[in-house]
Amino acid sequence: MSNSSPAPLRVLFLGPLRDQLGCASATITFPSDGTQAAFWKALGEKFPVALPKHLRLARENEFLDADAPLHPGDELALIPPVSGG
Amino acid sequence: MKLDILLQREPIVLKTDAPPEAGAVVRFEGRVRADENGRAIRALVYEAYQPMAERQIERILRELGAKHPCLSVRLRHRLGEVPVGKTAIVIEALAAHRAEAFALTSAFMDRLKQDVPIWKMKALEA
Repeated sequence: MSNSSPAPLRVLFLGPLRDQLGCASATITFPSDGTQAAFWKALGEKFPVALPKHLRLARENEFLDADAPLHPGDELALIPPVSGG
Repeated sequence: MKLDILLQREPIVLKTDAPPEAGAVVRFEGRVRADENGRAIRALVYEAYQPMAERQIERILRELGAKHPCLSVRLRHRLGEVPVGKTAIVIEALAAHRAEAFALTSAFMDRLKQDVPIWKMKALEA
């Protein structure tokens, strides 16, 4: 049990992003330093298609501050620009 | 401030029921226009990340209510297919005076279009 790797991140692709990427969710290996920068890099490697700009990250129904650390096993939501109303 | 928030697939029916202390009822209804990006359409299809959308709507209304105190706010947003001419969103603010109710409804609509995960997924052509 001592050498188990951190639980991966589960990522939900929401709104138009789901159609652009062709799937509703993915599992991403937890980035070793737990930063959002490392997460975006890992996501880009898993989805080599150009990710749309202006995506925002949310966790537990709240937008994440840019410097908020990620935790093993987090479920993250990728929120593309919204267009309600 | 009392809040009543609902994201719904059915047409919106929301009758005003204002208590005597409400001197102002401000209601905004957003309807589906007949054109989208210059093309004639017959409907828009809305989708939400519902738990987060509801959470963010409540957060925004509480924040705005602290600045523009109202007695109550009711909010309805439709999901799924909404035909042209039909109401996609209603926000109704009751307040003692009009200034707070106007300010809250106007500021909310701006914030909705920035921070609430609801999308127009498709425009169905006429």
